[in-house]
Amino acid sequence: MTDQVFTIALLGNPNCGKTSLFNLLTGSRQRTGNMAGVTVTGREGEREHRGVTLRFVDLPGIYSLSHNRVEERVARDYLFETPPDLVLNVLDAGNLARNLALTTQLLEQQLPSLIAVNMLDEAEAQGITLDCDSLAKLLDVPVLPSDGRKPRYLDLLLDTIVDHLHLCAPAQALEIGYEKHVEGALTRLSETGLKRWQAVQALESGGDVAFVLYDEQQTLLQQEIKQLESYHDDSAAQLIAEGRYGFIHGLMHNSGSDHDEISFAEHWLDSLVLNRWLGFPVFVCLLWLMFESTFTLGAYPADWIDATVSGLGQWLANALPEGLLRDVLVDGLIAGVGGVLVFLPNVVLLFTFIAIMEQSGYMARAAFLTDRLMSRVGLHGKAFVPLVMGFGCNVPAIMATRTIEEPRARLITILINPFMSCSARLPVYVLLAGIFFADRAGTVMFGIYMLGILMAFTVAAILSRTLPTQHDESFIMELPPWRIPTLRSLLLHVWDKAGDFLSKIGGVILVGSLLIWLLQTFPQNADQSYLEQLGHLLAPLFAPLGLGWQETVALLSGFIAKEVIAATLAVVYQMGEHDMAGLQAALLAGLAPAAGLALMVFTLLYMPCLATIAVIRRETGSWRWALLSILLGLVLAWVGAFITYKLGSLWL
Amino acid sequence: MTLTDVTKKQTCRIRAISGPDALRQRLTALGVMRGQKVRLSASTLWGNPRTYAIGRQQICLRNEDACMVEVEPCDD
Ligand SMILES: Nc1nc2c(ncn2[C@@H]2O[C@H](COP(=O)(O)OP(=O)(O)OP(=O)(O)O)[C@@H](O)[C@H]2O)c(=O)[nH]1
Ligand SMILES: [Mg+2]
Repeated sequence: MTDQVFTIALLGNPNCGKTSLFNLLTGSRQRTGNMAGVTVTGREGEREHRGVTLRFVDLPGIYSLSHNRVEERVARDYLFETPPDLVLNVLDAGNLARNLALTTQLLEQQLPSLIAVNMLDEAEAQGITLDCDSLAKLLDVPVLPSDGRKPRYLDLLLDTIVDHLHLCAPAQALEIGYEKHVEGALTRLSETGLKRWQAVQALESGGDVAFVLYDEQQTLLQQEIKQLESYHDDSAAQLIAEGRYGFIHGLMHNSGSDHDEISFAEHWLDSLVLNRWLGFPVFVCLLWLMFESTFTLGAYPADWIDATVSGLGQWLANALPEGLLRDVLVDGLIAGVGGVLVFLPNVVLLFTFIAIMEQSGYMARAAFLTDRLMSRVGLHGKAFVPLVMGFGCNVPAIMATRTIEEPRARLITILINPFMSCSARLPVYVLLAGIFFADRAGTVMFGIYMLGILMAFTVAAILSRTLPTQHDESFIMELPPWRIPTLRSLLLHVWDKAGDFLSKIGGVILVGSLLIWLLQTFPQNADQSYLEQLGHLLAPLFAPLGLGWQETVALLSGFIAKEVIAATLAVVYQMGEHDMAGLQAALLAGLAPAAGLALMVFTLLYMPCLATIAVIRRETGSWRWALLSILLGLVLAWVGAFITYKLGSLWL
Repeated sequence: MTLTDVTKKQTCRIRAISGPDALRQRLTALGVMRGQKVRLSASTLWGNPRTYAIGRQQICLRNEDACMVEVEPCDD
């Protein structure tokens, strides 16, 4: 045990590799991705090194300390409210000048800092030279190389952090010489009792700062800002930024770093993916490919799992004496849990594809490609990222909407997210599409997902015309460079997701299957089991959709978690059968293809699961929206399934 | 001319940025400033938004915002 605990905050521009470094430093597994705005809340993790405990805090990326967008505020307020013992300023070596702009703010403010230059491998590949030692000398803070993907510089970094923490001499505040009118304004503001860095930040942010400004300071500030605007055509913020960049270019020149500011080399992938005519078709093809291979590739491992599970069922059925114990194990547990477990490969594949999109940098490009469509329904390209994340799970996806500044756009993105079909619904589609549309299952699934997207857009269009608008958020986004995802990060990510899925199987699905089995088995020797009675009670509601009491109870059970739907179907249909083939045959006999399609549509659209409802309530701050989301889902699902059934009966 | 007139073949230099404060602040934060060289790097089917190569980065802008950035052709 150590008695010394130090807090170290990781701060830097978006997408410079803070979370990757944090994960290496603390052994955590926070989400990373090759685009700006992946981290939306602060996260903590600990590490012991040379007898001291280092508590690292990972923060959302920010461009500047004097800006006030939501995610920038998280980091800024953190620095002011709980000043860390050390700021670990992470820089992207590939774009050093812009990254150093934030550094100069930290140093002006005299925050104890240490600089880690990340992405050195990429900079080297681009032929950018960089001299950490002379940068350190010029800035008077330690500058260390780092790598967010490999632990090669980790020990050096940790040693320096500990050394630096023990050394408690505060650094000199950095002083940048600004343009002469700005300097005049700074002097006058300083006379009211503001420190120089405070005056600089106040001018830069137009008065929206984390520290208190008195009324007379505020008045003087606004006056100075107006005056600066009238001298120059530029705003105070622009003038100060010019001062900063002037300083930075000098710095880079003197430290022998490359400061050739331009690189127009186009990546060959971009000339395909962002090609004016091919970009969008390629995007649609990629999505189709994703669902097609989720289905087809997933089928092989699913067969092995199925064989194992049904083998186990057979063995148990033979080994155990006839009775309730055998029934509960074979018809309840194995049927239900096994019925969902077989879909693990599909879920894993889907997550792999999403992870590849996130890690490579395609996600940001897709946001760019879809911005025009999104703007038609009152959203913008950035809303695309939470929507695609919704294909995985709606809960983190709804949290990710925090990167959307404008409240109305954010609310709409939250409310339409449940229409993005999460991976929990995947088992139902794979099961049903495999039965009724065996030859073109992948395409049918693609269609279902597209229907979800279409619904999401329609609802968004309606909401954006009915909800009062606030200021329009401009769509300004940085495209990250392409990065080849490392096998390690992909495996870790997918392993985590598989773990989530498995723990759900061990939890809610296991309990749900047992419950369904109980309701199905009791009362014994009666005409109808409890489950059947319940199903028949509600069946009239579902009869117009072509669904029987079995589907009715399956949909009911899905309120808890959508995976349970597949488990319930397996339990109610699988009495006496022990493998997928048996279940498929039973379903094929019990349902018309049109009804199967209607069941898929209903599953797609009807109310979000409990966890999603809770997160909608939390992120929107009111039950009203959560309730709306439930009602909207139920109504759309019923109507959608009804139309599907009627049309399907005509054609299929 | 403004940023929306820039083509893929032509390199331009930023002369001034106007528009609402929020936009100017955001662009400044991204390091988009007077004197920098820009070039069009990609455009969508609809011609809006577009991506520009500015400095060492690629930035997506809608035309409504891009027309606030005044540029002049520069030769080299
Ligand atoms: N080549 C290379 N890539 C890296 C390095 N460090 C991180 N990356 C990649 O850069 C991307 C961004 O990493 P993150 O750790 O998510 O960045 P972040 O700073 O936390 O981003 P935000 O949370 O959005 O601010 C990921 O795709 C990483 O795999 C590095 O040293 N070299
Ligand atoms: Mg992060």
